Amino acid sequence: MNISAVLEKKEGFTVRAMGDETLILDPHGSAIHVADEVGGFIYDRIDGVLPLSRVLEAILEVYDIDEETARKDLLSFVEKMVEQNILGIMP
Amino acid sequence: MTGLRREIYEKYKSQNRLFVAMLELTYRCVCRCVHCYIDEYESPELSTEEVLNLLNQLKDEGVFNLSLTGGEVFLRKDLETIVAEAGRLGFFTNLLTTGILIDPAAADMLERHKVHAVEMSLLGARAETHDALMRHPGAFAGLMNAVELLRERGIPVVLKNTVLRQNAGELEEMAALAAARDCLFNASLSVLPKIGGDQEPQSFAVDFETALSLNPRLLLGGPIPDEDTSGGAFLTCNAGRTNCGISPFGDVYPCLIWRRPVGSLRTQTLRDIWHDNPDPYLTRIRASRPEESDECFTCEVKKSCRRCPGTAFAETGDFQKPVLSACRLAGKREG
Repeated sequence: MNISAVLEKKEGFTVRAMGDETLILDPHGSAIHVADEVGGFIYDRIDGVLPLSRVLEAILEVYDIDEETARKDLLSFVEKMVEQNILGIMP
Repeated sequence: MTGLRREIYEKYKSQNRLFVAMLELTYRCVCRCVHCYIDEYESPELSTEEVLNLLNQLKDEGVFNLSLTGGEVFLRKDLETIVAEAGRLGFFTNLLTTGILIDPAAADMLERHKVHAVEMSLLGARAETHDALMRHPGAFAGLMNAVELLRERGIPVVLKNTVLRQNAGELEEMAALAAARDCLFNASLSVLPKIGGDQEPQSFAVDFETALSLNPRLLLGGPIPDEDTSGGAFLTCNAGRTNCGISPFGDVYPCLIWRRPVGSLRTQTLRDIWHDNPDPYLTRIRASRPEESDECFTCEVKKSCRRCPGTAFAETGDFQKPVLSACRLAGKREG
């Protein structure tokens, strides 16, 4: 995954905040994915327009974390979400 | 329920967060079912704007499962606006209807907005039985037409029966009718008094001998479980905790059977009602323990009992009292 990639949310997922966590339910209600606070922050900002580099900037603005760690965590999170078909990579 | 789902549900329970909401959109109806619990009413229904605002509050609360019911929901001219918003907010939306007003355009609308399932009343396997109990000539034909339109579009359908004296003999046929149309089927023995307390609807309920002669696998909740429920599975429930009911006028209840108002959305927010300033009655429900329903907790046939606290409230005014029909059924089952 490249930091300049643009991702989109796949349709049909139900998203609910539960405290610091974000619950993402698949369209059939059969699988639940739980994102932690930062994961929820990232998921919120995936909009099919902003590249991941802008999401990284937003993370650095809000969280006290060094850029390299944030970049690694961001890419690792979105790769998992793409694998699980919750997020898609825009062409 | 998978481990993760159960874990999340338990978290919801521990926080009294709503997981399931049943919203009555209207009491207006095209039918006058003999056993209907709805009384005459005068208050104005929640407006479109109020309903949309409520849906957003339910989403913020964390609700996943939303049931839209009536009356007849298709009598609301803004139904598509409501269903579309429910879809946009990601609810698993079930619609409860007579089916009579579902035409191809309505079925398309439900498909377009990804309604999760449509539940419709089936009160007889034959038109004459169904129409007579719905007090609406042509109701059965309308229902069958709706089933076809919805199934053609791949929308899951649940046919729901209330077992009454007049249709108990058709229970197996109704189940077969549903299966032949690829619909789920369930039947309930529960007939509630009218909201205002009039017990006339209960005069249509089957007697206990008839109830016991019915196939328990077709009844809501399935067969009585073999395992002991002495932990209190049927002495407390999730009403007032993860489940709520809301009337067309914005009154909030623990559930639609347990119609003790605990707040009004016309003057309070959902958050205020459910979390920040709960009615003492709601607090009492949440604090209740199985052993407080002492008559039931010490009952020797409780392991066979399908008691519902909401029904206990509806029938006796006290959610911790025994439900006579459940007592007798449990007693009979245990011999």
